[in-house]
Amino acid sequence: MSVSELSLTAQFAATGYVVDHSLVTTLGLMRQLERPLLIEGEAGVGKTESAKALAEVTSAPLIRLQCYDGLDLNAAVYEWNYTRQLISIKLNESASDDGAIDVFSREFLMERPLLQSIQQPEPAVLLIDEIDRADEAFEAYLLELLSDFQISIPELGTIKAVSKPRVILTSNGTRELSDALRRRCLYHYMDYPGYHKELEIVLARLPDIDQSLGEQIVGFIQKIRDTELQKRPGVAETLDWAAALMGLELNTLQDNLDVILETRSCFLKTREDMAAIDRESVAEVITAVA
Amino acid sequence: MNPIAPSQTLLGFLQFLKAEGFTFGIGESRDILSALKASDCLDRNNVAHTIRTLTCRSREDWRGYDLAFRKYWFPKEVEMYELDLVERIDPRNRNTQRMSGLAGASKESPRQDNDTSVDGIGAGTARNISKADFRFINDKQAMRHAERIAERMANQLKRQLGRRRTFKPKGNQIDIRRTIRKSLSTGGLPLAATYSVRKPVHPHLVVIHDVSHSMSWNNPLLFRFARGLVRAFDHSHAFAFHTKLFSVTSIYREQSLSRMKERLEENNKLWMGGTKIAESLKTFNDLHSRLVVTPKTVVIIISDGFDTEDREKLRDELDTLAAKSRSILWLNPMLGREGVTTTAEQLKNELPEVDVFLPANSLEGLQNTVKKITALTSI
Repeated sequence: MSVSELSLTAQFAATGYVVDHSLVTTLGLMRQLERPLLIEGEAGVGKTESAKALAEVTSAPLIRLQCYDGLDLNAAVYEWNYTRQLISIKLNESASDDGAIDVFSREFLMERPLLQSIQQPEPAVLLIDEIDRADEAFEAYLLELLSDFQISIPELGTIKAVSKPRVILTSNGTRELSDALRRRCLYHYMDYPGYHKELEIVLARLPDIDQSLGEQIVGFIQKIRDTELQKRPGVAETLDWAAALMGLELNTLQDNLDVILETRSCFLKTREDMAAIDRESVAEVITAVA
Repeated sequence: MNPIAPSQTLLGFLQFLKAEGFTFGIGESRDILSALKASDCLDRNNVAHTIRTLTCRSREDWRGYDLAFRKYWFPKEVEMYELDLVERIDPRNRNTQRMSGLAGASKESPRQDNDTSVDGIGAGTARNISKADFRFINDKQAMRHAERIAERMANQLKRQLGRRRTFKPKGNQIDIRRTIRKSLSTGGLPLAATYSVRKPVHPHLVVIHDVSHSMSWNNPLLFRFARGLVRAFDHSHAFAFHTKLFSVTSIYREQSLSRMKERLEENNKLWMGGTKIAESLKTFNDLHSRLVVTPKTVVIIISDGFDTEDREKLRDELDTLAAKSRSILWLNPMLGREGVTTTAEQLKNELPEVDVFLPANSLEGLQNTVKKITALTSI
């Protein structure tokens, strides 16, 4: 690992985000090539957190666009302030001078996240979260921004970026993204962390946790992840559960079967999974972890 | 064997990746070279991560990359691993391979042929087990791996067809009706044209799956393949039969694999003794075909063809089904199997109502099926 990568790793660690070598390399490439980064992975593995951590490390503002089905340009890019336009027209009518006003000027433009991100004096971190939830038309609109860092507004023309934002797109893979979008981005797949990395995350995020309890919790979750579940627990669930057990002042998982069963809702999110991980399964996993 | 002669150069590796199914352009190659040139640390991990970030486009690429990297730069390492895996796939080869050594072993055994036609489903491991008969995959790990590949093939088909819809040889057509409607806001002047959007191709598949006792050898893999098809395409339907026919669409769409198996077992629908293909197809034609079969439907029958009924009845039902659907594909796990002399042509002569018989005894056979479906749905 190069000196700059070691430094970046340490900076991420200071924010509480444990970053691996491949992601550090990818982030370095992102800065060097000025290209967006598409991160795919299961829910709860730390995709969104990586963008937040990057913003913190680079001391840049984080601008977030949460995608959803039906997301349109008005919510994502810009909108004209119609109320203000009408008021201005009325005021202009009653004013003595008869000079025309341009109601389609920057004065009446309301900037939404994408436009905001390219108007920052210093490069911002733009997080386009869960892009797979947006529809294909919106994905196509993004192409211009991702390749040329510019946005075309019919009434104003093309607005070029004052500073190129560091763009991170995340996807849970609920639908296939277009090849055009993928081609414009660097790619990183974020998998569930291994035992050591997850333990490191738990210890970094919950510094007060007992080392032995942390090890047991991580071992337990790793075993649970190996079983066929509808929704496998992510790192966020591990942290929630660890915090819950700390709150209950538990020091070990052994001999606390009832507490584990009562708190398993922290990491199991469906009725079927709750039924699958019953008392017997929990006891087996605890024995295996011990 | 590498499809391109391995020269120890970076560009050679990029060519190798392309041959392995990675899709990236000259821009990425240029970026890789400039990134590596600018890097102050060129250790193995750093180079591997840099190239991976710029050449991978999907989770499948990401997961197949490590093996491709090692296969190109460290072929001996991979050869050892693959040899070990092949031994586990076919225990009958174990002794001869140990004796014949590393270099010659893979060329001597027909089931270890590294050359394969399985495209774009990852490197190395997938290629080695592609020609192995399902009956000989006894190792649990290898079986799980093969099952995953079988299911992934269905997703590969979806991706292939998904890409196809972005290709527009004539470009977008102007939609007159929408353009006129839009012109109302500008007083009837059509200032902005509206273009028609090509409808995506959604292949309509119906899988009719034999789950009788004679098929039990092949079913774990064929289940995953059928499940993959049904999950990949929203408009697909699946039916299973032994002596009776029943719908399994909702069961195959279960997100959890264990839940799917559980539901099948709950209904006690698996591995029943006999097979009544003609009777089952009659039930399908009478009760279900009206709802699920259209002239665009490709019907996929997965069966070994062991029937206790007469052929004439089966031909009648296939004839009825052929008249309603676009085509009928019959996947037969007996075809291509060692010791079985029956050929697809013979079966076709016997049952001319079926458009094509394809072997389903190996992953390679399933891959051919994927290609056939791609060809049929793009007509």
